Amino acid sequence: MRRGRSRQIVLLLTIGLLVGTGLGLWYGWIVSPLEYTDTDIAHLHPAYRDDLVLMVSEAYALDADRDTARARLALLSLPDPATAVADLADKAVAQNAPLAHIRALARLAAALGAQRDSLRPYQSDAGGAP
Amino acid sequence: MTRNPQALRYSRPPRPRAWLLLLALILGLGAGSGAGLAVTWWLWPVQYTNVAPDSLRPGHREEYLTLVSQAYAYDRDLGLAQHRLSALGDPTAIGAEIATLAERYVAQGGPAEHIRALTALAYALGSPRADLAAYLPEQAITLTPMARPTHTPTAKPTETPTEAATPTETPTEAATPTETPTPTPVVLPTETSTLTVEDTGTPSLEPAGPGNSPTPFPSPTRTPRPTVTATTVPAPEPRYQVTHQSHTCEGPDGMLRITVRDAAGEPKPNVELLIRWSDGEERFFTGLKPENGPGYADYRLQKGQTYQVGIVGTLSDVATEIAGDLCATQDRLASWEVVFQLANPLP
Repeated sequence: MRRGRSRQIVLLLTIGLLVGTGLGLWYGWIVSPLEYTDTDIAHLHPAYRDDLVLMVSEAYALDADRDTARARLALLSLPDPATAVADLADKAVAQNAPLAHIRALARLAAALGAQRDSLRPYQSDAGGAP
Repeated sequence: MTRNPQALRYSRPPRPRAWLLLLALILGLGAGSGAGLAVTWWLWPVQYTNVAPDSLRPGHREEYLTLVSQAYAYDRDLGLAQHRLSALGDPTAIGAEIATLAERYVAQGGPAEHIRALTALAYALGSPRADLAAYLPEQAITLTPMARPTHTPTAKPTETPTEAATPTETPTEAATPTETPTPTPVVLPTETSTLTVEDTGTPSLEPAGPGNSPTPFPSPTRTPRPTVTATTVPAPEPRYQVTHQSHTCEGPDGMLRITVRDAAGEPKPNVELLIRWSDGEERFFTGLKPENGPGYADYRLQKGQTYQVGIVGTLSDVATEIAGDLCATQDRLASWEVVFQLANPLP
């Protein structure tokens, strides 16, 4: 008698658990998922992040404020900001991006300590084509 | 053979009490729901790793706006700035938002560089504010309306920004990078026509050198920033104005028909248009249906949607409240006609 009753209880508990888990997943992932309405710049799509790095470098080209540029790049939580800027500059060169963009990126990369031969031609005022 | 009723009673599986079963079910449901929510809200929540700028929190949104405005101050590429700003949401409100941010920086004593950059972009987007006029970079507006264009714009945003966007200024390198305000009375281009004093201290649009970076390059020391002493009148940028907007129940239904004209009133092909609605946007060009004229473009409207349309790559009014509504007397969607015309340039 007790065994039968226990089985039924366990069965119902299991069914309840499964249905409840399903309900919880459905509610938490579909009906009311976590909403990131106040997201961080660090969570931007990579394309936006790249554009943001470009904007930081353009702002640096205007004000030559390396600390502000560093602080802004820190918002992106880049593991190595200098390398990231230099990589983007190389990418801009490879994609034949506007010269002003390449120069801004190359100069910020240099200011952050990333020295690359490929970017050297763009780091001086007269720099242009390699 | 007689049946033992007692034995019969005990051979059936016992039935637990109903309330116990119900309790087990409720407990299971509760525990399961809790587990599900724990998974979805805590253990493996929905990951928004590739978000767009329109979901940024206010502080980062302001940083984004400031960066867009500083980038605009550097490359003077309004098309690129508008493209960047379009990721932030309603294009009709963004100019005012930038102007408001600039005003707040002024009130809070924020960095002058940021204020000037924001002001310049707000003005470029057609959101001038009287109290920001003093922060317009290197310009004295001498009885000159702001929006009067002096040259014909290209139809598409230029991909090659020019670095020296204020060609007539004569920067003089000072020994110290200080600003030299030149008190020049100017008349503001606003409804209030307030007399004010120009702030000529100045963001240079020429990119500065690598600054105080420890590099082996030709400028190892901090390069003094140019100080602009000349008062110049910048060439106002051209602006498209909405000269006509109406809805009609004639012709094909549910069409937004756009005509873009240059300053002389001639149809202008190859003009990029941006149309936005509540949850999307699209770009299209004039001149793709030459049978309707070189300056013509159209877009099919959806019932119940409301649209905004403007021109990309140059200053432009935005035609708003273009609704995909039914005609009053016929069972069909109304069409809309919008005409953009470049404002007459100054002689």
